[in-house]
Amino acid sequence: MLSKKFGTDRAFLFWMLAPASLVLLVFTAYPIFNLIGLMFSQVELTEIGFLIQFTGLENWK
Amino acid sequence: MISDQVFISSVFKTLIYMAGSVGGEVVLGMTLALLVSQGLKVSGPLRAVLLLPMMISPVAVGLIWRLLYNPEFGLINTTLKAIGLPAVGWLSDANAAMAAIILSDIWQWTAYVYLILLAGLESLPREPFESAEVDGATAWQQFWYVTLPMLKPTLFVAVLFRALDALKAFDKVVILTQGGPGDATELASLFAYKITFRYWELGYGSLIAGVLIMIGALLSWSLNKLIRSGDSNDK
Repeated sequence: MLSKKFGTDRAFLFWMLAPASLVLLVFTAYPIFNLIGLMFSQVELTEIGFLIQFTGLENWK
Repeated sequence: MISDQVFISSVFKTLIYMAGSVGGEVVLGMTLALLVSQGLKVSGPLRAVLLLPMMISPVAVGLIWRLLYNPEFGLINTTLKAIGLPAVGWLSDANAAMAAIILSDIWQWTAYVYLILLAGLESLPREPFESAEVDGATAWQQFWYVTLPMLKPTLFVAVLFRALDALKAFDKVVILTQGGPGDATELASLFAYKITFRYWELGYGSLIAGVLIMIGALLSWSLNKLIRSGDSNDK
């Protein structure tokens, strides 16, 4: 429907989709990538915050 | 993780919980949907009663069932005693506890499966049923060879939704058993919570959560493939 109306105006479609894509990226993609990172790390709660140390496959053993 | 027997056992328990609750909901939901589609009149108040559990928060459902399962004054044990049967420690017996949490989930979500299946049944074309009747098919044959194959995509959607929900079951289990007795009802989501927020092993907890997401994704993918294979067979 949109592409019919706006023809090949891809820039318009891009900017229309950009806010939703950005929200999706921030609230979905980022936590997933963060989780993947944590799956391979040792995380310790310290007085100054989280201490994240990459441990490879240690958690998987 | 691979050598952690508690984690492997929790995944196994989650699968049992998933199979029990989804199986029960599908059988009961399908029975209700078939009865209603065959002309059983479900009046307004009864329909409301059927849908009511779905609207209650899982924590409240857990509290309701905890009262029902109470060994001293719970309705279930009182009824059992009244008819001369021994009382059961629903939440304290390792074997009964899993059945107890499965039953509470079936009670809450059967109406959801019923609604999905009823919508699917209402949308089926009449002609195949008329042909089957002309050919002298019995009610069971009509269900097995006509209704079920045509309803397969809808059924798989209902199974997918419920299975994904069962995979991350947490709140009701916490209220009912807290994973006990022992670790008889310690589902994987509960195990992940304990590891992360009780033992503060955030890395390992994240790994368990990640594995649960992967199991969910694999389940979605395989059921989606089944739904699509059903669609392509119809064409």
